[in-house]
Amino acid sequence: MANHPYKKQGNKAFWNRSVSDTHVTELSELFTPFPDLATAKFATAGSCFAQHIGRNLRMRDLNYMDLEKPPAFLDADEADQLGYNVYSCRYGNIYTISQLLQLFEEAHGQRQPEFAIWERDGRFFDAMRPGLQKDGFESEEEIRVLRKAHLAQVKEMFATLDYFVFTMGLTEAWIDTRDNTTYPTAPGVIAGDYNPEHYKLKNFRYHEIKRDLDLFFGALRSVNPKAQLLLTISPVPLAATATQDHVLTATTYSKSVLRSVAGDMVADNDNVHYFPSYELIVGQPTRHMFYQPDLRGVATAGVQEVMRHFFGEASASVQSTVTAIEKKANPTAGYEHCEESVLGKLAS
Amino acid sequence: MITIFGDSHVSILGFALEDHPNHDIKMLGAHGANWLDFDIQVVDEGLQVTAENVPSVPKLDVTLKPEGPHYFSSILHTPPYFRDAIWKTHCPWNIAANHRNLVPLSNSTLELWIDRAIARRMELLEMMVVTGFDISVVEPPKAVFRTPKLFKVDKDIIRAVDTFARSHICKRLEDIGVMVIHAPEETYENGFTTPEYSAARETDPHHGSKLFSQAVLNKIVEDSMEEVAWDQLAAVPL
Repeated sequence: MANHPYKKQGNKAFWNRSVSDTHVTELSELFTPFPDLATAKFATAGSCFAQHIGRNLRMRDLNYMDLEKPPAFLDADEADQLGYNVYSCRYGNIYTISQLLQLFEEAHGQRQPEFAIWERDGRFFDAMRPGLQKDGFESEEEIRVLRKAHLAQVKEMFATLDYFVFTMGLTEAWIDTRDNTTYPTAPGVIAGDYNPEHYKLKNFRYHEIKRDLDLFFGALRSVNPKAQLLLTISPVPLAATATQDHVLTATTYSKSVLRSVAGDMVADNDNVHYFPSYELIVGQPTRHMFYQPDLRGVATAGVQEVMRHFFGEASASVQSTVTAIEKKANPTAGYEHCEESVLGKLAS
Repeated sequence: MITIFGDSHVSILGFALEDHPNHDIKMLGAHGANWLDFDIQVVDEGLQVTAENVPSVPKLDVTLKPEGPHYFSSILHTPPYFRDAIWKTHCPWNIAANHRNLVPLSNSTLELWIDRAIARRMELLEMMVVTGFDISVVEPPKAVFRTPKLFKVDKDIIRAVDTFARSHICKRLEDIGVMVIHAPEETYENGFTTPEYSAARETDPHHGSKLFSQAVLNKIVEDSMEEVAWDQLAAVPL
């Protein structure tokens, strides 16, 4: 047989060997777990789906960073209502890279959103994390004091983490035309009021996202030279699009751009990694069976499958912990905080 | 008949009974922990409340009948909030500027905690309102002057948490139409019960003195007299 360039490729390089003839729950070699998983400090952020990774790291007693723990007098449900135990700090969902870069800059005193307190029915909301308290706050001053304390913890997190796990979710966002702030939700959905003179839709393009992510990663490494970045893409489709496109094509555009950026970030940087939670849910092997009936929410089995790949090939010491905890805990306990899903309710 | 029922502050109010020999006042005091969670049974002409949360003390077993004014002491007992160990590491957000080493907490965080703690007592009070009781709440002393030293909690924090908790609970009571007999103004200064209105015993963490009991019982009796006067006025044909 003649020599050819695929001859030395392993099974994972061939669709028929690694996909067609393999049951979805037996897919392998999609991710090489970090050798220091048991000891490294992990911080998480991103779109709604990112909550699963943090929750599972926490559940497995790994070195998951939580710099804003709930006060002991709250029970688990109450803590959840107040946005505790969701991410490593209480920043809520960060849907776009622009928002992530802003958070980093704000935490380091390099920028300050000028119009980021919104109102609804006499209550006030932190527009940078509007879902934090569903009934908002009593005063603007309360938001300012709590945000200042929050940002101090965010700064500490960036300075001390080993791995920053970030799930990219959206390309569409709402921008304040007055100071160029990117918000996680459209004004008027949770709080605030939509004024077309002050807010505009921005559907971020590849080069803008790549530029912002390069800036973020460079800034992160400047304050923490050992920091590594683990990127994932949320497999959750857009709840709604503000473009003129169909939501299905808007979703494809969004996820494709984000996937491309992630791929190029990994190609460009030794310390940037990609975890394929997106492919594990959206890819052909699943035949979309991991989606809930609305074809948007990810079913429990899908989350478990994703986590199997994240932890499953880990070191023996972690694996034994994982096995013990899986026996006693429901890995999907809790729920996903998701401001974006509110958009879906606007249509009903 | 005036019925005053609730926690150990009721027993302290009993020290002032001798000041009102011409009034029929019934005191039903029990350990405070028995008012955190309890069973309520609707019985003939009233409500029976029972609990046995503290093994070493007599169980709570009171039957309340909707005759005459009732005064409930317990729901505004705030030391469980301001004495909590959380205040070694956290503070209410509105005093964060003076406590930069502590993590500020939002009002909603405290409200969730308090609402859970008072839930059962709110149910009882709502039942009493709905079933026609004339029911008010009696406020116990503000944090006694020795609290910061006794529990090694910062004075500002105690004052802020105590003030917030009482104000929040009073709003909840107002929502269900329950009036509050507030601690008399002369009994406290800068948010703390003064030494003369605090229990004399050095280790007493939250009770009032006999002087406090006298001031409060006077307010209760005055309030009950107003109720009677209004009832009589309502009975006069126009």
